[in-house]
Amino acid sequence: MVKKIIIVGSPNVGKSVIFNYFTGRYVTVSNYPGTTVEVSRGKGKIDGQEYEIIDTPGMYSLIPITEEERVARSILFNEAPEVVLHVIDAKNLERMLPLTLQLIEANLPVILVLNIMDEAERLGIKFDIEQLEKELGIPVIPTVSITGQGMALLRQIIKKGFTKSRVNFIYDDFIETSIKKIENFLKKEYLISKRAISLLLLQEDTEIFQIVREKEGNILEIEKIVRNVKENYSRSINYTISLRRHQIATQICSRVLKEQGKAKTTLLEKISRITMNPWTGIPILLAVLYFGLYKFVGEFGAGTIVDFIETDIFENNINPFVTEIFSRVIPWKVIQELFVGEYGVITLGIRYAIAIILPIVSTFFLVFAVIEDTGYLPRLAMLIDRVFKKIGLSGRAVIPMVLGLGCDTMATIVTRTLPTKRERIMATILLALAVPCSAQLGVIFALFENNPKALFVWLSVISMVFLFTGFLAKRILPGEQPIFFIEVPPLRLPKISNVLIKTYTRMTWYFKEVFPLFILASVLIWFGQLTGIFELVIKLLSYPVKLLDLPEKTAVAYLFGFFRRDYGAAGLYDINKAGLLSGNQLVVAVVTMTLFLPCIAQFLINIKERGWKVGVSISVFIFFFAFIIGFFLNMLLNILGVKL
Amino acid sequence: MKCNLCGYEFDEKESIPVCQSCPLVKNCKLIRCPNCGYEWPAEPDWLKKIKERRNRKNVKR
Repeated sequence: MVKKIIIVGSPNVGKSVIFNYFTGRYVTVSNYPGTTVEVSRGKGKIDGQEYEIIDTPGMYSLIPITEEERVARSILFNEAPEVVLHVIDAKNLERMLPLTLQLIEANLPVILVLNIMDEAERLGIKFDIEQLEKELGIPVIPTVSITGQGMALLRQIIKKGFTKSRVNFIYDDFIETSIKKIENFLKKEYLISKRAISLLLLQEDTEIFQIVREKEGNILEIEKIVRNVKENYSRSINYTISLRRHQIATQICSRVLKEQGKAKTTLLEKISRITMNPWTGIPILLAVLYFGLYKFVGEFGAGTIVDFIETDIFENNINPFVTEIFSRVIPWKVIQELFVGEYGVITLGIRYAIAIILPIVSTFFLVFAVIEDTGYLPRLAMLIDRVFKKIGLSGRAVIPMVLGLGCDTMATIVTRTLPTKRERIMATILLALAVPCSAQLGVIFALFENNPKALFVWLSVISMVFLFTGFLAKRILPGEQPIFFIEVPPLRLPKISNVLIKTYTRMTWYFKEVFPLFILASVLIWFGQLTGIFELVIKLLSYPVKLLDLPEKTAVAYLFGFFRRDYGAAGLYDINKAGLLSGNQLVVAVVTMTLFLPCIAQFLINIKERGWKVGVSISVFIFFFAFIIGFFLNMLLNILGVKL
Repeated sequence: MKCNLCGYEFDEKESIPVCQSCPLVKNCKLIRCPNCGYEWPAEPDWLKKIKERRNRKNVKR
């Protein structure tokens, strides 16, 4: 039987060049049985010994996601290779090493091919190859396949032969014990190690489950072990195991990548440090908020662009034009209302989406892209972490909070990673209460255009509410050390192309998401008007609104806010633009709206993540809390005689 | 790709299993870091193709 060499690795690492080097012209390309995935097979001779060389489709992990990966794994597991060449891009050793670990765990005869060494060297990356071989227990060959560098050595190693790795990569005790237990239940023979089979079973690989079931028959005990492991971890086992492999890869890299020598502290490094120190970092954050968001988003985005699109284009041209057309063409008042009424699809839904939200979030995303591209975000997370620790909150709660600035709904899902139920509930409340999402934040800054004092009051109140809840957390929650590690990349000047691409992709994604929802909201409001539900809800909401000394129309904005946070803020923007709000009323309205019930998506997630009782209780608490804070703020401003 | 928040390096495909747990939608075209959950929209295909073409040209050079 012809011995086989299987070439595996991620796409674009030079597998095909190595395949061609060994096979020359003797190649066949055919679909893998039962799939549309093409596999190249060829014949090659090494020192007179003939081999079948197989070039597999790109794969990232032994847990397949795509059909290509499934085929690659199937070849690896079923064709009993003499040699497995794992080809990796030397520049990305850390990222690609986890697959090497998996291949070693599977007891496959692996050679690690560190390809594209020339580019790695150009970047100043140096490897301790001997140490890497020791760490992995397999031969490691540095190559530049396109020039043939290192290929002779690779040929020589294959010819000479080598022993399989005996290195074991250790997971946590619970997983290790479970692996041993599963291994004991695996009585039949497999082409890969029982340890690898056990790990794949723990990762709930359905294909492996099927193979094991066919071979072993009854696997109830194994299923019980897998269930037990699953119940003991808050995150998926697949993620826990992958994370551990990444940690092992990082540890190995720290030992095999040679240091380049200590560099002098640069100006950017100095700036980097002061952004993370609470004493200097908070003023820097305030400056970023003031100049980046308030001045640019609020004054330029809302002041100039919105004014132009909303007033000049919509109010003066589009709205009168479509209203005229609809009143001429459609005789039914009800249908006219749906499209061009007070809350019509065109006169409100499309106008809000295009004339108010789009310019504001576009300018916001532009600033956000600059912030992201400079590497300021991880520094902001570090800064918040330090402030959190000072008020006694668990450091790991930082991540959902920072994510909440993007989207609170997704951040609520991330609170799953918090270890205790109390922490999860507290983080959910904080997110729903005091963390405005990016779109709402953009419109809020736009609302305070030309009124920095009101902005300052809003920021102070929201910060105080946040800190108050934080202190509450200190009393209720035990302080725990964060398990989350953030890699702080070098601070850098933003690249214009990156900033433009990021802004464009966010804008298009946001618009695609928001546009249908705004239309849907207009249709629902129209339906609510037809049935009288809308008036009823507005009437109910108008009572607390009146208590805050706000115009009754503000109730509509709060109802909008329940559809989407930014939709509500846009409603306030509209009311404010009509001159219906004084400075004091504006700040009271915005504070209440920021604290007010989360959007419908977040409300549903709260229920899904925390259950009916807790989810609804959080919403009820927030509803009353928001209006109470608004009420006291209004009272305080009146008592102190503050005019904003 | 590298997460802009936590620095975790992963492949775009790795973000797919994370998205499977999302109870909202599965086709929002957002890439979600499997480590910290930070999200950002995926680049459109036409932009990826331009980048790939440019990278290929650079490699040839």
